[in-house]
Amino acid sequence: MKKNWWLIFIVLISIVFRFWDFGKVPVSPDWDEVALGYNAYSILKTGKDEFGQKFPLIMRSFDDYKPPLYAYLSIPSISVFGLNTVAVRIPSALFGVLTVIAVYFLTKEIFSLDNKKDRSFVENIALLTSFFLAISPWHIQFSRVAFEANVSLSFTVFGLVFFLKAFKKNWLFIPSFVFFTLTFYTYQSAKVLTPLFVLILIFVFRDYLWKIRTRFLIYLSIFTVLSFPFFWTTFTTPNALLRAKGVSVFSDTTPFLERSVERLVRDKENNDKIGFIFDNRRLSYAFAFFNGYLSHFDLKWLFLTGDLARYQPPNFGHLYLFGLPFFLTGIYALAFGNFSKKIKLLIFLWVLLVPIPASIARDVPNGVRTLNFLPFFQIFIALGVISSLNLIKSLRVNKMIKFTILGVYACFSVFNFIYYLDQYFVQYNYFSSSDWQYGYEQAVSYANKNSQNYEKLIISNEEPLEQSYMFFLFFSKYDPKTYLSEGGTVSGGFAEEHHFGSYFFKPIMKDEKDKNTLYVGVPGNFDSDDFIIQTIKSPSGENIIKIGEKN
Amino acid sequence: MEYFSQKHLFRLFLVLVVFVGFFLRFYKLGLIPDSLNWDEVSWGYNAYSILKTGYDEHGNFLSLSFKAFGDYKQPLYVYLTSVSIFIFGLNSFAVRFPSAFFGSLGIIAVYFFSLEFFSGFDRKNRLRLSLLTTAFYSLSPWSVQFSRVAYEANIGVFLVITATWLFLRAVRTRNWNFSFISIVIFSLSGYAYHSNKIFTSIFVGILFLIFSKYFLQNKKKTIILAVLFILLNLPWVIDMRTTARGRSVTIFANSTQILEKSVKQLDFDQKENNVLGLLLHNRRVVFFEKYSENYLAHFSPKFLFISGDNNPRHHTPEIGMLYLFSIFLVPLGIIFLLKNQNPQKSLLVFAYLFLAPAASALAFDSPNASRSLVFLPTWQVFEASGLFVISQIIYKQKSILKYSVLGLLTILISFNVFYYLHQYFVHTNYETQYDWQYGYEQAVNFTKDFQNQNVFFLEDMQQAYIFYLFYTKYDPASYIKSGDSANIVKECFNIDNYHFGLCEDKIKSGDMVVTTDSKDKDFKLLKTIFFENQEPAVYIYEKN
Repeated sequence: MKKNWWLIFIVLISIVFRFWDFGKVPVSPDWDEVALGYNAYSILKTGKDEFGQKFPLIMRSFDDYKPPLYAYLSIPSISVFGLNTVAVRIPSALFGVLTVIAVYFLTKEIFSLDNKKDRSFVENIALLTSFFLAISPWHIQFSRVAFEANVSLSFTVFGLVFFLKAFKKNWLFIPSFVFFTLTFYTYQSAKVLTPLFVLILIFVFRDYLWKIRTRFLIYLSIFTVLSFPFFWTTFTTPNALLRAKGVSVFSDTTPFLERSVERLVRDKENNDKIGFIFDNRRLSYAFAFFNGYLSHFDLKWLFLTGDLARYQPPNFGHLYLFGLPFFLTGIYALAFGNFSKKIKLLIFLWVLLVPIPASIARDVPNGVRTLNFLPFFQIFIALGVISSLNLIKSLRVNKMIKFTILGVYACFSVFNFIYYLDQYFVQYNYFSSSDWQYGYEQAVSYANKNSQNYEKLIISNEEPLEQSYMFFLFFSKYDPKTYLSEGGTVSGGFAEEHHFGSYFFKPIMKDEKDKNTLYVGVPGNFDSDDFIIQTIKSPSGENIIKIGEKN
Repeated sequence: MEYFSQKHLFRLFLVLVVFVGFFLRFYKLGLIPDSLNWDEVSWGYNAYSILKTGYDEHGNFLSLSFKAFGDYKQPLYVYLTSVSIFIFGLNSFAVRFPSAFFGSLGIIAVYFFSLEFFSGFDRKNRLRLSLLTTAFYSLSPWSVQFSRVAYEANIGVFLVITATWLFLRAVRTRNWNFSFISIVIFSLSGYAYHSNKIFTSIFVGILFLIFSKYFLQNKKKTIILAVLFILLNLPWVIDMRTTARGRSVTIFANSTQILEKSVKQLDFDQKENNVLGLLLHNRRVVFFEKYSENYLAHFSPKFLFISGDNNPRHHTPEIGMLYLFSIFLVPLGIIFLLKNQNPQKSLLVFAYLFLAPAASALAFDSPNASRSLVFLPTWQVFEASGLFVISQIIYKQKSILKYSVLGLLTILISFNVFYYLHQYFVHTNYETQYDWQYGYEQAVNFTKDFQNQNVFFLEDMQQAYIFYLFYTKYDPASYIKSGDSANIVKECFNIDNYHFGLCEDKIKSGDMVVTTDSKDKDFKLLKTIFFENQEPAVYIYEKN
């Protein structure tokens, strides 16, 4: 009973870090968040998405064909709180908290696979793991924004918990496979990852599953049946795989293959037969994949620098630097410790599979496509903490020395933690507002207030204001019924022009000077003699959006 | 593996491994890479000058620190090169010879080192592991890369390996003579390369700690050893010039860029009156962050296995510092050592590994394969142990499985090795000529026949004067006597009819101009020197 207080404490921590300043940090929703939000709103009001597709199984959105579940999940919060940033982000934060709880049970289940392990060890590692997840920069980052990856992670964890529990009560395979199926409807990368995960599970637990093979096959068929509609729509919707192709290494081959082609030409000139083998295109692809894969095990990326500005606060990695020694000792302890082969296989195979979908993509390493590293990296760290403490306890030195070591390291860890909190809650908005496409909210509210004074409003859709129509739909809560009756969205590409009501979204030409028109654009769109009505500044004071008339 | 038990076969393999290593380091030495870069030329000419006059290019007598371009090179490589120039004359082979020679000797040193390192294993396994380590070192892309060009770091590596071997031997045989020689060689390595100064000072300290049992036996000799080590290292500690170069490349010297962000954050904190923030965005925190970042960069898989560092001179195109297949061997090897090696030696190899990038991480361009060259031979020890583990597993299997896995493994490994050799011996010259400053030699050779004309090497031909001195074999005595060396800090200076630097206002009609930029119509093109890929490298013009 005593330990459960710890769990409650951890859950409270996770709630605090996920809901503190909620909707304000990060400073504004990015385009994917508003797209999810508006489509959810549209489905709530009309049953159709922005393209007029009824209850879509795949949302075309910006032609990236998003899996739709996140939008459906945000319908309740949007109906309660209205269409705003907080409402869109609530599902992710809730699932973030649920994941912290589920990870406690997951870790318990995993380490109970070995029935020799004593209860207190299992309890401790489960608590530590969920604690580290509760304060994990990586998990906090994606729990506070409407990113589908975070919900997909939750479903994976739920699925795994039920799978492990199902060894005692077989019917629990049903919820397990339901959750695994839901990942397909939630996040792109799951298409590749979840089947691989299921294969690992079957492989690791093959002995037991073979015993109940007929029953298990029935459960497995549930998985297939449930995921069938998704794969059916994916393969029958033209261009639905466009997104996956768009980001993969195979798509943008020209610069990539240039060098290998150059080498081949030389080999031909020199009649170098061996060269033909070595300077082959397939080899270049293999290298690119390998490079992408390995980059996800780069400690510098994990612990210090991170990647895109939207994936972590400035000057911070995905994991705490103080976790690095524990991370390494944890891996060592798991590899050599007295754990059953099943535990080792399950965890290590899982971790090794996670970067596969991200490695096919071009921008590697990538913190969001590899979110499924969680909570396994936290398991390493928790195990590392436990084994390091045991190691220090066993040292035959003066108690004072032991306490000094622990004290100094604790100070460093606390410093590291406070540094993170400052970077995230104080610095982040100031330094990364442009990455979060800040400025639209003010622009929309001004434009809305004054729209009746103008015949039309022209809003730029060029960098950094791409997909501006979606931000305007979102922040002005434009009635989806009206929007669809005006034609809705026709195509979601980046260069596409849009319009609804008196709003037009298109590039603003240099010599364009329409009368009775309000222009919304970047500072470069206006000349010195144009009449600027309002300038929107980022938190760090740069001019980002200007609103004015052109003379 | 029963073959290995036969003594002569083992020896045959060993000789083969050493021979292949020598071959890879000496085959077409001086031709691949096909031009000397400025540092190599500078080593060469200073050595030549020492050989002929006893003075370096700046007129310093038997210096312990060579000013060169103001980077104050450590002295050992210069003296070694003067010997090889004495034998082979002033040419690229001679300049690179010491590196190739000691790189090759390093293979033998690694063999003896690994015999000591694996001395706790039974005889058969000890020999197998040593042979494997030696083979990996002999074929190591990292070692071959630096052994074929004049890199003083390579001498440093050889000395550290030798000294570590002698140290281990001293401890095992309780022979104090070896420990004295070892300490001398350790100290010497600091005179070979800047990074080694930091590495050895800490590493030797750690060795004393690890083997403290041995040293406590004879406190008197231990104290003498320590004093000897300090005395031998004193010259470079006192001589501020030798640390100038080290300091100039560190993150602290290049702090503007690094601190830029923190300054912005501090401004913000000040504006918001955020006391905590002011504490957190302290300069020290930023440096700590940058240092850890640089340090970890040396362990990044991309650096080690895929594409090496950012300097094309430091690795073969598309090849990492280690073989790609080693990604599987290294973890296995580390596991094997942790489980089977005695704790002291495990500590030794991990201290070696974790200290190797300590100096390099101080520099702003990390990872850097040259400054962390002292990593060798730790990775090779891991690779060898990893392969040893795999071979042991394979040999326990049934014969069909055994031979098919063995065959597959051989194919994979040899494919990777031959891919590397192909990249090095076929593609290096073609793809890295720019980085090796191809064209300077040709430009000097073309212009040196026109003795009555003024020749201007424009500013974009960096440090061209040293190429001129080197390729015309300019008499060091008369160069020192002329006092021209004092002028090279000037924006524009000349040696006889050759002018270097920012001299464009002095160019008169009829003068020759050497540059990498194409010029307009005031000039008549005399010759264009092309890279092998048909891109222009250097233009030679005559002013109308």
